[in-house]
Amino acid sequence: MRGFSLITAILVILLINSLAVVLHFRIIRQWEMATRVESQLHSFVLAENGIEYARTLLPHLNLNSLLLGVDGTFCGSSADEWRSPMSFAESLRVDPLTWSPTCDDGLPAYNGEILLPQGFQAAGKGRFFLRFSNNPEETPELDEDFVILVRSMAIVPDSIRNPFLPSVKNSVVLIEARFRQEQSFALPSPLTLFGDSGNFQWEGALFETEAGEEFEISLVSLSTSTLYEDLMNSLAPGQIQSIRGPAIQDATSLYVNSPMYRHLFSSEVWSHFLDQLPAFTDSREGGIKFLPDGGVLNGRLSGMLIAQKDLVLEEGTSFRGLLLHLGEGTLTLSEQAEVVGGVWMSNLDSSGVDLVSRPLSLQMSGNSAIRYNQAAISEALALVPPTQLGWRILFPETVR
Amino acid sequence: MASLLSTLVFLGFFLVVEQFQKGCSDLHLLLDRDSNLWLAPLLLSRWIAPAGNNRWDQPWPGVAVQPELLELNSDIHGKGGFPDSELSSSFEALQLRASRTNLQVKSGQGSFQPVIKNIAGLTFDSEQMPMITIRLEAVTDRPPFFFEGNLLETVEFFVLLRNYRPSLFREAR
Repeated sequence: MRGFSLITAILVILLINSLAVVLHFRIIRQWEMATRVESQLHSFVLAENGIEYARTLLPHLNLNSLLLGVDGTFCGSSADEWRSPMSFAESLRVDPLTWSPTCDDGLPAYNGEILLPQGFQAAGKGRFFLRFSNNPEETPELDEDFVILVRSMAIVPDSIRNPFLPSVKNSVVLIEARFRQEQSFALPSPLTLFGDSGNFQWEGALFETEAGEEFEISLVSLSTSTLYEDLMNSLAPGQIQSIRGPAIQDATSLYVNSPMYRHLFSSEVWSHFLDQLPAFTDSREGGIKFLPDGGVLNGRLSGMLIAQKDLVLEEGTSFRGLLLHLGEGTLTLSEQAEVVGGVWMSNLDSSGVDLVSRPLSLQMSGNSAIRYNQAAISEALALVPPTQLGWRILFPETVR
Repeated sequence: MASLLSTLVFLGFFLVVEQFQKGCSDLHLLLDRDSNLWLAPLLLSRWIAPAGNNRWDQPWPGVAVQPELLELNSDIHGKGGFPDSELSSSFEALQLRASRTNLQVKSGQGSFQPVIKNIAGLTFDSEQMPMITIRLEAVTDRPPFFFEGNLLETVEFFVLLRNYRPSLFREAR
């Protein structure tokens, strides 16, 4: 009888113990699943943050320097997953706190310094890593179309440490975005005239277009053009010599053949640009400013200024950046008014299928100046957000 | 006397174990339901994000929202592994809905297939575009022992379509 009670007691204890073990593993498994979902979600958000970081940074980067890395040499594109910060296999096991890249190609850098040498750490132990690479339509080490890929890899180390569970993997999310950094208004000279005819008034003898080693004025024609003749006929013999003869270039072929500029010959591009422009303007000083009805400006200004109709830069006004005068009206630089950067002028009718050019109108007074400054133009262009051409999540099965 | 006592102990034990098992089973049901509620938003956000982040002027609607159906089109694959401006792969065109207490997904020209069970309702709201409001209702697999009904649980979350707006410069198609 005592033996029966003992066996009963042992069975009961075994049953209770086995139930406890099963329950323990079930709870651990659910906990692991919940944690994994949470860290997956965290890494997803972190990877998206990496893309946003890249989007903000991209306008300030020199793409070809970026592709070669700070050492100036290209590591090659033969390795699998060379476009990613690291391979998927490595990312699943790596400790993101101590990992560092072996190749610096495509790592975000500024003034010769890598910006995130060990990724960016967000809340917790998660990090995102970025690598830029050239779009597959071009050679990997040379960018000409200003289209670039960025891959953001987020790694969140697994937080579960349980002796009953085998070692678990990091949560990894890899997102790729395809951006184009807009450079349509990277002007080749202080004054770029896009049209077929113009009315120019040069008052006094001391106005300047200062280009350094570049041409003083670039002319871009859509069809049969009298722009050069109009320009030359408007200059009196006593006026400054520096904008005559070889100082004026016909840049039409440059614009037609360049992937960066050629879409400016499309009426859809212009109508879209003008439609969307109000949503991209910025009221702060130094931002993108749009004046659809023109205006009279004075003082010290900077940024990207886009104006239609009559625009007057009053006496002594100094503008640094990019000035786009689009549409009807006259651009007037009064005495001692100065633009440091570049001026673009066009007067286009983009309502139809074909782009139609109308006469330009420019008036420059004595002692006014347009001084070519590539740095000022670049600063203004950096205000334009990159165009996002694509976005996708990459998985180990689809990554190339 | 002893055998009667043992029988009573056994009976009592199995009664307790049965109740314990029922409790565990109820707990399991709730955990299953909750894991669906965790998993579904993650899956949905992963499917929606590529469609909602691509350029706005693509020749197909990236995200088409109906009250009980969500259509997602995203160019995420093509020749050489890169997007090719075509929705050629079946997984590039998805439709999501809840039907017969399942979250169902239709891929390309295929038919709706269940992906997550016990999803009683799935509604989409695009009033605050570019943000989609998604309401998800999950139930338990069967009625629990200790509670009444299917213990309907609802979760509401938002997915931001980050780049779902025009760019300043139009993209050539």
